[in-house]
Amino acid sequence: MSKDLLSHFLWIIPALNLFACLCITGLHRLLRTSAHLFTITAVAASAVLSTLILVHLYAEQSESKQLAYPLGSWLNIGSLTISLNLQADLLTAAMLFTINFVGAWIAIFSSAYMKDDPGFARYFAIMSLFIFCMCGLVLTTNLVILFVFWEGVGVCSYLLIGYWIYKRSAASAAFKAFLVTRLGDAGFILGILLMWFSFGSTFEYTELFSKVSQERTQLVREARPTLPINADADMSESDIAQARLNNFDANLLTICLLLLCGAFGKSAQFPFHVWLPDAMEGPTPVSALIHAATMVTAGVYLIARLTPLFVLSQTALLVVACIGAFTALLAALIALTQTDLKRILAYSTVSQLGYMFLALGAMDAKIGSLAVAAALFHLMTHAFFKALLFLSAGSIMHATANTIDIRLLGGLRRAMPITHIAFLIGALALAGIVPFSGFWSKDNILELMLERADHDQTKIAYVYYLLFGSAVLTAGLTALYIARAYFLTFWGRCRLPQEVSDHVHESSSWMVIPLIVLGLGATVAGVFGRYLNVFTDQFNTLWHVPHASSAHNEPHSPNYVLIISTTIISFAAILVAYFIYGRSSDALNVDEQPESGVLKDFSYNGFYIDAIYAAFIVGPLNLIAGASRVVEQALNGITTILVQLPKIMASILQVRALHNGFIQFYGVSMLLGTTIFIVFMLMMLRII
Amino acid sequence: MIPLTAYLSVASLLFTIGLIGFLTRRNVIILFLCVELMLQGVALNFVAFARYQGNVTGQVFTLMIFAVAACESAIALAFILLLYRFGKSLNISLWQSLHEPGLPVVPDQQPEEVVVLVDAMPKLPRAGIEPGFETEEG
Amino acid sequence: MVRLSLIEYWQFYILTLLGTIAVYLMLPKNLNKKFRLLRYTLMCLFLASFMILLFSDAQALTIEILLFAIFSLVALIGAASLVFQANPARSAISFTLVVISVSGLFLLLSAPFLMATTIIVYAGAIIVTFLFVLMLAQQSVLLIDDVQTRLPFTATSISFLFFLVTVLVIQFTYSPAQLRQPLQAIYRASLAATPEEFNQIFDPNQLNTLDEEVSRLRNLDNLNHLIVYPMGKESLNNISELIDEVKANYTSYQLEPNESSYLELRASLRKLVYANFGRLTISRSLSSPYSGVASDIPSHRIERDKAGVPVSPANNVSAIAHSLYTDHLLSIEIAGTLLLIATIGSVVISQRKLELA
Repeated sequence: MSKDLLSHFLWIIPALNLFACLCITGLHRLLRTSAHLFTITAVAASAVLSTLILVHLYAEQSESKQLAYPLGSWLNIGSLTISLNLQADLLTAAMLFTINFVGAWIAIFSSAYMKDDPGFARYFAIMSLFIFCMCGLVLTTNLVILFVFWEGVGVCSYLLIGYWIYKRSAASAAFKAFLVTRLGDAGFILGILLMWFSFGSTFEYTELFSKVSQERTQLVREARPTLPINADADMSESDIAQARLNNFDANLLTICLLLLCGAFGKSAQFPFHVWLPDAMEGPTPVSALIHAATMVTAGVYLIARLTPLFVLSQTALLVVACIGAFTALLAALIALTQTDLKRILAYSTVSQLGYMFLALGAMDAKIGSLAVAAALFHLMTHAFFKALLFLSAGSIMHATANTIDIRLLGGLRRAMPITHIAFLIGALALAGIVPFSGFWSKDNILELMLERADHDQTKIAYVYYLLFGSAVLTAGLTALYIARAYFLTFWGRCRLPQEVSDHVHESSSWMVIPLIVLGLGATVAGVFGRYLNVFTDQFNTLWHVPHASSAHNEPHSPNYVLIISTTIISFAAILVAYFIYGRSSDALNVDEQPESGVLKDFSYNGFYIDAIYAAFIVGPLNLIAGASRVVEQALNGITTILVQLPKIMASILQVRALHNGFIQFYGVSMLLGTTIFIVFMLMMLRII
Repeated sequence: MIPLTAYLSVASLLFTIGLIGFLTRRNVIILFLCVELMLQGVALNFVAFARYQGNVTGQVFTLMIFAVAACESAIALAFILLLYRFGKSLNISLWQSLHEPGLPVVPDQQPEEVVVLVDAMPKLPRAGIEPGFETEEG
Repeated sequence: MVRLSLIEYWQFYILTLLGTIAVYLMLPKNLNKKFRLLRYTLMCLFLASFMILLFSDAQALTIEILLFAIFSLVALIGAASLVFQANPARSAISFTLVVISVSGLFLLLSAPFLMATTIIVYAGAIIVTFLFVLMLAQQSVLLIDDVQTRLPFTATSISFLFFLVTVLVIQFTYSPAQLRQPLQAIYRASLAATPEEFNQIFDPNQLNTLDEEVSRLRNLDNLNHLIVYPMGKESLNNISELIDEVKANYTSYQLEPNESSYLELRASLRKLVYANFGRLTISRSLSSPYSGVASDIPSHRIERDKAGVPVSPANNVSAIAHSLYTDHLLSIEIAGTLLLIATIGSVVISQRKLELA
């Protein structure tokens, strides 16, 4: 495969999906039930192409492992130039592969899942559009264009969450998702603007990174002169330089934090995580694609892409790590008591994203690329097993007439064997049991945390140790809640809702095949960890991370203590779940309330975060809106009254009687008016 | 040499008489005829100016007036026929529906006595050959 | 600044009053057969006094004035009969009379092409169409709508008020009567070919005669309220300069009465005469020489006939054609399009639909 041909793939991949979307939109009346063919063809072709790109980039021997395809300039105003250039390095290629591969199987699953839905064509059109936006997001080299596609995926997510437009809860969930991510995007825009203000209008990654790092190196050099300091040297100069450096750092920190707002919003981290559980109102394949595998990983991609920027601001990275760990723990705690299977999986997604952010937050000058590689690896494996879990949930819903409350289900392993196996594989991967993929990626992250904490000379090391501890705790809780979900759904006596109790069966083959494929992927994807050094090499060379030493790229012996202890913790959690939920057949009765301790209440209601938002943010806004409405109605009333005034005046002066409909009367009045006007003009001209 | 004011005054008197006819008569056709009369006065005005200024712009504009008058009379007569078909009469007082809504309709003034004159309209002889009638000659 | 005294125009007021009464009485009212003689007499009186008023300061009865009087009287009588006839068919025929007389007036105004066109278009096409429609919509009896008029008094009075205002404005603007006295002498002087003729008009022994006349021009405040349009190359603002020029030339002529100074004086007199009074000069319109006299020629160099009116081109048809297709091309095209649209419109409007109204 020549490099030229491959670089053409860079624009073909998004173009295929956009074309599919346009075709479906244009021809939806004709297509009706065959719209899925367009999407599946486009995404499958994109998957093949992205695999080719990934393989090529991996095998390439040269220094710069990337493909580029310029598309020309988009905006050229004054000093601001934004050009559309597509570029694929290994990060992009990995993301592309994930998106398209998982997306293709989810599309195939959706074609069977959504078969009887009247809005079939609309679903696939939006799905194609989403894949187009996501591919564009990862392919672009410009931060502003990335933001454009960022918004694009947000819109597609909104459209797909609210897919069942007549369902009020779906509509409000879509609204909530869009608004919460919007809030994050506001921060994102501010970050971009501040970046523009500080560093000029360079939004291309390479330019931006080089500019920022050059400036910082310059400032650092000024602040720490290499000459020995004389006793009578002018201290104020180095103070000024130091102040300037501090200023720059503070500026950079602000920018990074603002960009983080966007990342957290999109990836549902702590303050913004409230939208993801409600987003489960959408169809299950949508949850699998958008809210597990691809869109929510856009935040992780953003930070991974902007590594050279973040690496210069340790405080921002600390924030990332802390929020990541906190969210992981929080979501795991909430997932422990949920009764809706999809909600459990949603919180699980939030938690695993927290892991990815934790990994990213662990990067510093020495192990920057390792951290990114770890996060990326976890992203890929998570895509596989989470999509697998969601699709199995979809299969369950399809078979049990949309029942997903685990209190109403039970013993499905006999009724739906393949789904059972698929869910089991996904659950084991999520829990981090060897040899499934989740084990390798999670273990990688934990090792990374330890290394980071070990390397750090300052007091921050303690924070990283703490974060490491909370990550381990979260791993245990993850195993616990997913085992709980598994046992409650698939074990025990067979409990099914009334209407399907006699004819529940395994889903159709087109729904089962993606499960099998993803299950295989979730099993063997761990083997890709071996190739991580490729990623780290490339990251190092591309990003010119200062002081990055390649010493850590050699494969070192795995930390067996860590592996064994985490495995023990996971198994222990699974055993606990088995004893509580797996043994007794009526573990969770529908009718009886579980004994409500304070912790259970908190956990079940999401630690009341939603309620707090409703009371402190939404409530006041509603009050203001109500007040504005009152004011507006008052103004309307005033206007209505004012409108009556001419009518009243006219009836007082009996002017209305002049409109009697006689044309000749009108003519006479016109004539009289003209005459008076002429006389008036003559008087004005001083003639009369 | 006839002063310009003479021509202009004649034109204005023509215009005024046409105006009186327009504002006074009820027959729709007479109404439009009076409009044409007004246009004649205006045309005379233009041509007088053209003469006294030494250029032909006034005459050119009079040609435009003719074009417009022709168009206007064609369409106006088509409308009159339409109105006649609807109202069965050429009286313009029938068409007052654009009055202010909500007001009582002012009834048109009625004459003291209705005068009927038979055989007042011209009778055009029939065209073509009479169909076969029994004549006295046999 | 002196305003016009409206009392000067008392003749017009009486004329208007007379006209109002005459027309009001003549309007058809129930086939009124009473006081016929009175009404007709009043109407004829009105028309006659109108004609006389128009020519109140005519020197002699030329054939032109006679023709003008005949044509305009016939036109006015036709117009009157159009309005006052109860029978619509007779009104249409009176309109023909009006059209023919107005064409005669056109001919007097040296517009033969328009004369022919008016007769063809109006009398030939429009009136015939009217008569056809009349026939299609005729009643067998003479109905009330023909006989009774609407708002007779209001309409008549306001229309004649309008007429009064119009005629007065015409008199203000275009009547040379105000300036006749000072202007006449100067005008005749400007036409004088030789110094001897000039001396007959303005005796140089009588000092300052021309000065007086010319100064009276400047002092005549009535100048300021002439509604004049922009004139040749001079405008009202330059009148003072021209008057000064005349005065200077007159002084130099008086000092040394020879041929050259006389010629200079005469040139400046001509400039004054033709500059001042917009009625007799070319308007500064934007038309090209195709449409008549070019507008950048100073007004004293325009070829004029004995009355001071610029000479019209002899070949009227080709002059109109030149003007139409050079200066007024857009108007012609639009008029053509308008005719097409009107044709289509009238066909569409008058189509008979099969359902009942």
